[in-house]
Amino acid sequence: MSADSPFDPENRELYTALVRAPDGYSFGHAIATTYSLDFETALAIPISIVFRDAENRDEMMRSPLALLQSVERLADRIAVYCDRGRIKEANPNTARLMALYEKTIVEVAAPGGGAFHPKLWCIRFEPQKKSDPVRIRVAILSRNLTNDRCWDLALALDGAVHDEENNDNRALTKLLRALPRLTNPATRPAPPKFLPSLISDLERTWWEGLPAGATKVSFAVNGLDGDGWVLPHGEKLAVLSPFVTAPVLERFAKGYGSRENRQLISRAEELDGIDPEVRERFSISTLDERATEYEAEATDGPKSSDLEGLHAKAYLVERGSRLQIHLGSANATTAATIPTKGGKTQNVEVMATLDGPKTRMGTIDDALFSEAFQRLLAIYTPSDPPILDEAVKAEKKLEEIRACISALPLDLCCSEVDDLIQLELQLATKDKRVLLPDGVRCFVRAITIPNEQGYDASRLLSGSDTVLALGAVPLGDVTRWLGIRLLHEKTKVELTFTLGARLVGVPEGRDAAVLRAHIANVGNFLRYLSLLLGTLGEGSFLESDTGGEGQWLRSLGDGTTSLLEPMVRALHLESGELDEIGRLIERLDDPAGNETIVPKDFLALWKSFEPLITRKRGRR
Amino acid sequence: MSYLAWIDFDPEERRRAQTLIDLFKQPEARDELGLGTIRDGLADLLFPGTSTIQTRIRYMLFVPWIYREAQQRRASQAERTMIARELEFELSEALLRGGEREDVIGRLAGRSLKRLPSSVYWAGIYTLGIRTLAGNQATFLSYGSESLKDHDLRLWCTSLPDVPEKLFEQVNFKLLPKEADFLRDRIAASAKTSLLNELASKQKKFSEDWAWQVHEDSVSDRNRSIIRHAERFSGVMHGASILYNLLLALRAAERPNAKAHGEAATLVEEYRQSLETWRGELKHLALQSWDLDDLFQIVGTTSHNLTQSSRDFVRTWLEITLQSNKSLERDQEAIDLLRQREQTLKRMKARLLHDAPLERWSGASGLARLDFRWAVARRYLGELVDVG
Repeated sequence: MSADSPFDPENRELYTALVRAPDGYSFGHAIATTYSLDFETALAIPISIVFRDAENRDEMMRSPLALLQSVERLADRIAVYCDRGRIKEANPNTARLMALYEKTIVEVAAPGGGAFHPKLWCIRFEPQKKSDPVRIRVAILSRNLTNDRCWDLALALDGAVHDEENNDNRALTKLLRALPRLTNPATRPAPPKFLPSLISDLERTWWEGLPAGATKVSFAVNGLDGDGWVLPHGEKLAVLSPFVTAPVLERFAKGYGSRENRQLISRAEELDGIDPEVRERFSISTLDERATEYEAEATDGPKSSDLEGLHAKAYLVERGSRLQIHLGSANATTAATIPTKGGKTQNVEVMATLDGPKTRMGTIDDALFSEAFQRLLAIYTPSDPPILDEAVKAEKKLEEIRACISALPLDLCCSEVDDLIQLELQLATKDKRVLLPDGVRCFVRAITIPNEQGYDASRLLSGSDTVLALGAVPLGDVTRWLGIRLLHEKTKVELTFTLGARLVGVPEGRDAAVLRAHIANVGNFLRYLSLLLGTLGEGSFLESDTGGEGQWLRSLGDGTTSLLEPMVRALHLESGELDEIGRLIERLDDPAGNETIVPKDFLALWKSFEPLITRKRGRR
Repeated sequence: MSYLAWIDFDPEERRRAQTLIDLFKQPEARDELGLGTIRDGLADLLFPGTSTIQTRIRYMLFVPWIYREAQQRRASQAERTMIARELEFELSEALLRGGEREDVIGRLAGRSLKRLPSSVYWAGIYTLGIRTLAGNQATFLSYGSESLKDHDLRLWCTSLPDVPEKLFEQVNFKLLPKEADFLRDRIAASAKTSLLNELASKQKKFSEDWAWQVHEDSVSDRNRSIIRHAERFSGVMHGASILYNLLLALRAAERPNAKAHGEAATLVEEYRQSLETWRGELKHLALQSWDLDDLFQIVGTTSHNLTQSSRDFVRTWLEITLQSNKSLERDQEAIDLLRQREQTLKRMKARLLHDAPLERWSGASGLARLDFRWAVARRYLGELVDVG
């Protein structure tokens, strides 16, 4: 039966659901790791923890206030570790919000010099009843915390914390323990306070109900020491990996009989670059390209957006009477899987292995090559390998420079000048510098400044200058994030990314200033209410983009979709939303005595709710 | 919640993925030339509340019954979500026990089903006024038994028929007479001017292959005109699809690396033949008098956004159809039009311009003739008459 296959294309789960607490529990703390990251996606996570109807990334991004509230509330309860230099360029609007995310996102580097690649969540959920055990959820994914739209896999495991230690989780705790050490030693931030207790809980978590018929689960981490993931030998192998290198394919092929027993699913353009002789050792298919292109039925014109192909990494092994599914972040590439002289791999990777008898898990054909999955596959037909033109070479060069620059410890120093904050960039240590090659330029700007140009940083990077002035910004625009732009002058190829600096001398009251800057208008306020009350989406009183000022009042009277009705409901259910609104109205009260942005009519309405809430609160 | 599964970031992404997966279920039935807006716009006007993924009309009752049942349980919203989901699975099992085989949503997927009947029918039951309050499924499940007592809060149509006794034990798709009456009433009330209502009020079955073959005196002028537009649009644009496939076959035959297209030469002949047949059938459509502005204006009244480039494409194709005396396969204007359209819609994936996507061509792309959901509507009309 095809639906039993974990790789059946219809077997899909929502990323945002991953962070939601099980019934009877509430969100406690979480550590996430990712290779690349974009701010918008990272922001969607705290929102979906805090708001019940918030699932759609685009909807969430339209409520800056909700973002603020949820990020604020969760900032010291989540830590996200990502590879340094891999935060995508952010637009200034989102960038301003990132002030509140400063401590949450931490950039790290792989000790082996490769990529910090693991995609992991480890979440602790606190029980609402004291008698229930704390629960831990771990997810091992192939998806980064970005807006990629690829074929990605996730393994999620839930378990309760017991007294006894579970040795199977050691690789995971090793990774979590190592994270604070992987930051830049010169500007190293303090590790999250909750990390030791989370690790201790993870050590004692026993997984319940393994998926895919598995009877055993184990984990492995590459790139921290010599004790990494190794593909075992067996009779039959299927490799799903978007990226491949010839030495790894050769190595993997060795333990398995004939070509028929070795299946490989990868990206066509990646396979084109592999020696045909090595390719010969596998039966190869690619994801049919129709499975990666999407055309909206209801939209028209050139709006088609693509799924960016296969991104899942999984290795299925038949070994005697057992089947193993290995999955996680490791591609079948040299940097990910082959140890260097030091005994560890260049990249840091995390892998999970599900293991069980074939009678429960099925064979590779049952588990992977279900009829529905096979429909998505096409036989690989080789094309000529891509030609390295000037632009591609330039990109490569810029990538190398990106790695050097993101390894520099940077200090962003603030000083008050009138009512603005003057920003100056410095190298935090004298012994590190980067000499830009001829024809390559580097520009830096504070990420909240919509100045595309940026300031030329070559003299600072090379050590000729000790300070680079980045101009002055209002208090609400001070963040530790820098927008970096590398330019290859001859080809005009550009590479842009976001890099974190250590913020020195950040003035008091910055967070409050950010909040006020964001609730600049009534529309934002109402959109937030809508999200809070769970009416965003179909039939919401703010359904259209033109909604906003005045609109809610009109719908207040029409009886079907109004603000009044969900507020009454919230009052009745005592679900806490009204407390939230109350707190917000208090906070929006400008101490300087300026008029609040909360609409007068809403304040009038609120007056009739306020005493009811206080009364209920008192009763508890 | 332990699982091993493909992952989507949000419902929007899931919808995209689902659309792609569906493409693989119905080989090559997709909208290659971007005609979906007009197709869906006309279908919404003619047969409101229907959609191509719906199966049987009794689901329009099953879904509210399930949600009502879940709402009556004393539970948190999260628990009610689980309950509703569970009830949907129980319904599938009850249908199978009731002897239904075809059209049971989740028949094969069982409990791993991701697209539940409630999400397939959620929009439709609102359009037809069975669900009276706007809101998503989560919003509905946030209302519990307390809210249901509140007489000012109307979630569902008040005349919703009672739940059959053994709904979750054994049930089938056959409507009871009062259920059929209710659905007919809903259609009459919420979709009064639609063709669906006009035909439903006839209380008879229809066997016609196409909506425009139906001849009923009581059809309004407005609906007659919409059907006429649909027939002409379906007919005229079918030629564009055939020519598109013919051009692909010609290109596939020319390519030296023709291994994957062994049948290209046969296909070329087939499509030439189809194009001739199509030409012959055009006469019935009296295209000289077709008012495209009226069509665009009608589609413009729906929620579908018809772009200028789509208008231009249809207009130009109609001109070519009307003028061309020579063979279309050598009509450079026609060829350029299709190329340009495909390029705009598909960029690097355009098969007329790029070889890699052509290699993966199955031999027939988007050839199905547009029926504007008549097949679904026709089945519903039959079910409304064929009561138990």
